[in-house]
Amino acid sequence: MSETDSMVSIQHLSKSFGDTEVLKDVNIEVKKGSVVVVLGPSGSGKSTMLRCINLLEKPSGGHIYIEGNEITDPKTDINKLREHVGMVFQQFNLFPHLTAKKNVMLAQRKVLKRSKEEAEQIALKELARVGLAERADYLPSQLSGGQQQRVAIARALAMEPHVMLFDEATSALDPELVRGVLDVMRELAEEGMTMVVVTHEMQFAKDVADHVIFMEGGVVVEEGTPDEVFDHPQHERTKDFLGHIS
Amino acid sequence: MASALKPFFKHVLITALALSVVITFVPLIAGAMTVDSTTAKSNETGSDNILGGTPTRITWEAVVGDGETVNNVVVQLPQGSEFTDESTAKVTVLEGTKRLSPASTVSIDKAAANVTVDFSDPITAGQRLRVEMYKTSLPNVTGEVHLTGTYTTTDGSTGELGESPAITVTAASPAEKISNWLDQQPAVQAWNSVTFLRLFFQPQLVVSSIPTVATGWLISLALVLVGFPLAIPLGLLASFMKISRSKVLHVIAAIYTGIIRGTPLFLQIYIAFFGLPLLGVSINQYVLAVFVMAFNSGAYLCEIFRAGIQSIPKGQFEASRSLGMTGPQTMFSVIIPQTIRRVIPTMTSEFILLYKDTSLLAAVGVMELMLYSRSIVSLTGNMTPYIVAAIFYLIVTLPLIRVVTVLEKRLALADNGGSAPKKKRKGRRGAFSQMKSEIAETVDEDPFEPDYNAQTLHHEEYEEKKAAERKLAEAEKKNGEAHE
Repeated sequence: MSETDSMVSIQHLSKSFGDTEVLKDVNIEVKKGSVVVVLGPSGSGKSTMLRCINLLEKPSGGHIYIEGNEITDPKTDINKLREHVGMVFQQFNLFPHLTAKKNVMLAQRKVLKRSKEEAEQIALKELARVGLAERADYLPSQLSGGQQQRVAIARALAMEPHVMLFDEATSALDPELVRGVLDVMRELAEEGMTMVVVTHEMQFAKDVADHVIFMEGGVVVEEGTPDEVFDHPQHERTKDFLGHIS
Repeated sequence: MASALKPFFKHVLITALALSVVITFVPLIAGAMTVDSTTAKSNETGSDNILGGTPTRITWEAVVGDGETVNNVVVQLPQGSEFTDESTAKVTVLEGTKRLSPASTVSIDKAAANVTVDFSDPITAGQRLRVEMYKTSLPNVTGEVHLTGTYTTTDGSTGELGESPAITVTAASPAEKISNWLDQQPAVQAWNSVTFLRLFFQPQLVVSSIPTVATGWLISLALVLVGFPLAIPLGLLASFMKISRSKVLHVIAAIYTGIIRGTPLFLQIYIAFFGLPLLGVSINQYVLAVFVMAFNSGAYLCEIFRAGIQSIPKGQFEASRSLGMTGPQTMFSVIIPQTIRRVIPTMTSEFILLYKDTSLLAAVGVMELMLYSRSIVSLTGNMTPYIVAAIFYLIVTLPLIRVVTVLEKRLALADNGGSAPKKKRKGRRGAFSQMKSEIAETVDEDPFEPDYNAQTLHHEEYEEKKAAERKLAEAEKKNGEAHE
């Protein structure tokens, strides 16, 4: 793979919390425009891996490159890096004291130094994109979980990220609210957004993923196209997991 | 403030008394009857003032001149003075220190505001005539008043009694007038016939102590209204130090809050008020009081703010940082605004505590609500001024306690994912019923309001997440400063 093709390159990543080794020599490549879905049981280290990509967790060892820039280099401006890496959390993490629109505007104003008018215009555009133009002036507490998560996606998109990280974005939602969020993610994928998605939604993985990674015990057990991983899993653990889930 | 003038009047009165004493003992050579002393008994609760328009006892003394024998004296009160039905007058005649009892009749003329004394046995040169007029009111105007009068000798000649020495009168305030009026009311008299009611809730004393106690109340309020805003930045600074990664700053803040919260405010007041003068530092006691209160409250506010900041979910920091916001941007745009909303009820409680604690300053002689009411209690031996003081504390604390309750309920609702408190109030409903209906409205709006707490996760997964979070917290502590 050529250097210019790579969006995220994770090489020999390891991460320990005290004596507990959560990630062991993880290597992952994410090509520009591709959708990588990471599967695995709880505690497999997939969320920690994702959080290492925008340095919410500090890697214990290894290297991570985003668009060819090494972010694990201590000289890297982390805030600058994070502008281009959007993240969506399981618990949405909207700012509860701000309306949906202001949630989307805040970082634009503070980080990108956009004017109020421009930030507002972009906020309304992104909210419309996730189907929530009508709810711009609602507070998070006045929105359903699915709506909150869509606002969170709009908030990340307003920063014009080069890659989006989804950390179990639908796990905290009631089943009937999951679809709206997945639809938004599907559309994003179709528009060519580079995405790294940690999820338990198998159907979504099958439909949308370009590349599927199965992790367990802090290592990548198996990876490949959805066909390879879902229909012809090579490892016992992968088979067990897929059988158990579906 | 009337009370500030009291020492001034005290001086005037003492001077007047001293003068009259001097004059009394000056040997008299005059050939005519001379008035040498007039005094009135203080009739204001808690001061030496002589109030106008309020019953008092006036004592008037004159000495018969050389070669005179007097059989009639008329003592004329100044214009505006009043005798009532209850007024009486008592006559005493003295020769040196010897008390004489010449036959005499005393009559009060209410309309003319004078007292006439007729002697069937005339009084003679050098003898002293004392007339005491009870339940008599002087004019209700601030200033000096003099008594005048005439006398008649046995040979039929009439003389003018010159102006008496001055009595300094202070005009009665509306409260004192009401108090005087209450004195006359049969219902009040019946109320006061019950010992408990008289001692703890005497209507006249309630009314007459209000101006004094209110003065103390304003001072207490001023102490806390100046002190508390000073404590807020102090507490905020200390809370930042306490959560800071710098060990030194943390330790400084920990020592400050530890000592202040671990010792009684009473002791801190003693140390400040008695210690600083020992060091030769002299500060106005009100200024010092404000600083002591602020310094004390700052330590409590520090803990309130620290707990508030740390109660903000970690996800808020992560979301801000993942959007590229810097630490200070995160703090001021995301964390502090949420913290303020959360700590306002606790801060209000702290304000209430501090306000009540101003009473401790009485121990070191700072004139505030407590000490003002005590001054009346010690003069009257009646508990009523303390009850009035209690009312003055309560008119501030009770509404604030109510505010705290409402805010706490709202906060609890907001935290439970209920509707945010931004809706307009409809009608005059109670806050609680309003909030209940707000929840109902939200439910109507979206029947699938999710509860994104633990229940929606698979139980097993939730347990694992908790364990992972614990691990994470541990690891972060160990690593100290992580990826920043």
